[in-house]
Amino acid sequence: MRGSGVAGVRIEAVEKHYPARDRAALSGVTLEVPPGSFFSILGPSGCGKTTLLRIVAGFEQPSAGRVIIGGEDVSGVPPRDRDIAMVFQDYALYPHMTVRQNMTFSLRNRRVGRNEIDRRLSETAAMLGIEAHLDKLPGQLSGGERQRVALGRALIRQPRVFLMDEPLSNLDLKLRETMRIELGRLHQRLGITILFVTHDQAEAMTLSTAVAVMSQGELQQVDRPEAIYARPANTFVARFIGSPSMNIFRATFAGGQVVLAGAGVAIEVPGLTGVSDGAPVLVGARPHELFFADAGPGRLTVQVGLVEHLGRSNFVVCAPEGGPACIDSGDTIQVETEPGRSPELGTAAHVGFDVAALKFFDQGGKSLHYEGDTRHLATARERAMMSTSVGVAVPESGP
Amino acid sequence: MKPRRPLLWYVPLVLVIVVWIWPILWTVATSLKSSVGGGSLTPTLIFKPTIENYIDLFRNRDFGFYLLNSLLIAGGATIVSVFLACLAAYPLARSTMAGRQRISMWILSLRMLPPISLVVPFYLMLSRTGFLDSYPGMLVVYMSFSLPFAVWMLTGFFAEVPRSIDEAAAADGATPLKILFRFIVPLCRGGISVTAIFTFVFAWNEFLFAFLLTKENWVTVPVRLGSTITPFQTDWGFLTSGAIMSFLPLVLVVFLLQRQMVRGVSLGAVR
Repeated sequence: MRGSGVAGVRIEAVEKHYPARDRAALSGVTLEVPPGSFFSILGPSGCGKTTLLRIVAGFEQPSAGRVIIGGEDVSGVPPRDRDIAMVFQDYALYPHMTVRQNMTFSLRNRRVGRNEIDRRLSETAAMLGIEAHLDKLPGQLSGGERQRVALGRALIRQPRVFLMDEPLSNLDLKLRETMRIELGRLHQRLGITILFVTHDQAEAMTLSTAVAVMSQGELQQVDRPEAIYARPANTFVARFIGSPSMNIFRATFAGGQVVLAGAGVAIEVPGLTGVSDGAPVLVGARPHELFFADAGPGRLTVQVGLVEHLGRSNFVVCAPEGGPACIDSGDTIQVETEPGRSPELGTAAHVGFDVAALKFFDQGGKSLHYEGDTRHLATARERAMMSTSVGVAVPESGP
Repeated sequence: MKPRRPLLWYVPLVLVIVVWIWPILWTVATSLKSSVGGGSLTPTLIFKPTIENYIDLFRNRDFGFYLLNSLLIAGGATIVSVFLACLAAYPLARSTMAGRQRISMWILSLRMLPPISLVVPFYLMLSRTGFLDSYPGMLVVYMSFSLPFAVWMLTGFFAEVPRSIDEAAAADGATPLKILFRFIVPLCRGGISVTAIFTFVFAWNEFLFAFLLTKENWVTVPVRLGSTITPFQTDWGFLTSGAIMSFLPLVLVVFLLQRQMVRGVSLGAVR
């Protein structure tokens, strides 16, 4: 059931202003979603990602800019004529219609032949495993089943583009993982274009062929998931992707080394070029790129504040000696260790840096070129590692 | 087992029931008494019930004609009002336009006007256009009250349907009218029933306009019944049996729509 007219989406300089708000909901967003891609828009709540999706769907009009679907400018075209299907966060199943009626409404509405409707219905229902529920009302279904029906209602249409607004966020953690895998399989099998909005980086990183990270109505970075992880364009992306977040230290560049603010620790960074001597820089290191070691040059002395045991690894929250040196993290850093190798709570310890893996940013937060990071292009293994550690650390709605 | 309530708890209950039920029982009893017995109002507990008043009502007094008038006017006003109100309430419920609240308030304020203040203008309008004592005239007059009320009620019910239902239907290719009648209206069946009942009951019981704006062709039940009370005599047998006959259709309507209401409300649970 490969979609006959799989199309790409182009979003051109889209702006959205709401009369009552000072800040633009979207400012100058330009995106190219290639046909057949699984394209995620990722960002914290309120970043404008859902607004952007609703503009693509036609539920909202942009204040400026254009939306192009399959080469056709659809600005001003009502949603019903855009040939898009949308999966909603609350599923939005029609409560007074059976599953069968829910799924076939669009086809009946377009006067598709009876035989064709039956054929597509049985095919879609079989694909999603909901044949047994066709004559039930949505109220009689479990959350996971409703989710499948919502997907089925979209799939049966074979639209040019699928729009999904946090479709998995109402499921419990376990079901969410199952549906995530199924969604990935469906995409591979059908070769459809999916524009997927989520605040869950695990979903975005595991499913997507490309990810757009948004913050405060602006695009931060658009790239393949592994590239976003390995080469974040700025400190927002660096801290937003990966869990726990990347540690970011204030520092000064001087004579081929960076000197961390506060602690005064100097780290040799021969690969960092194009930065003038004495310029302030930001140094990023993910928790697993830090390690506990003996005291010595290039080692940061810290007070161990809290040890989080996660089974496979521990996260150690510690406060660097010498005062405020980090951004956005309440002046603590996180170090990942193997279980059994964490320092004692309340003691002083020394933290070393995986120098080749460090990220550098200018004072405005923009990424700086650093030779050390070419070695660190994320491999498939790293991507897998990251997604699992994310999966463990992100249960946002715990019991 | 439910715990037994103290006896004292029932006292106010019984009082309320007596106050509400007593007049109805009294009316029923009087309507079943022979008018030959002088049409006395004295409450007697023991009497021989007869339905001669009811037979008289339809055979000699042409009561069916007035019932039909009432039914046509109240039913027509209800159907037209609720239909038009759906069309008006949907955009009002969905609009994010500034001043939407003010429109609702303005619509509702039409209801607050004392009816008596409108009687003279209505009378002049209808008599000069030749619509006095006519069906369209009565419909328009009743709708001037029932339509704002229905719009106001339905706006509230429609607003409770999640917007994502509209959007899903729109993405599925439905036009706004189709969204309204295939999704919003079926989902609000309970609310629409309630609105319809209120509208119908108002029109059914309305006296003032019907009294002044009809002469013979479209006289309604309340007007006909009221005309039997005169300074010289009151035909209690006719009045009470007529009252019961005008009361029964309402009970019937409420019972019929009650099932719809319950079904509509239980379906209203979207998640």
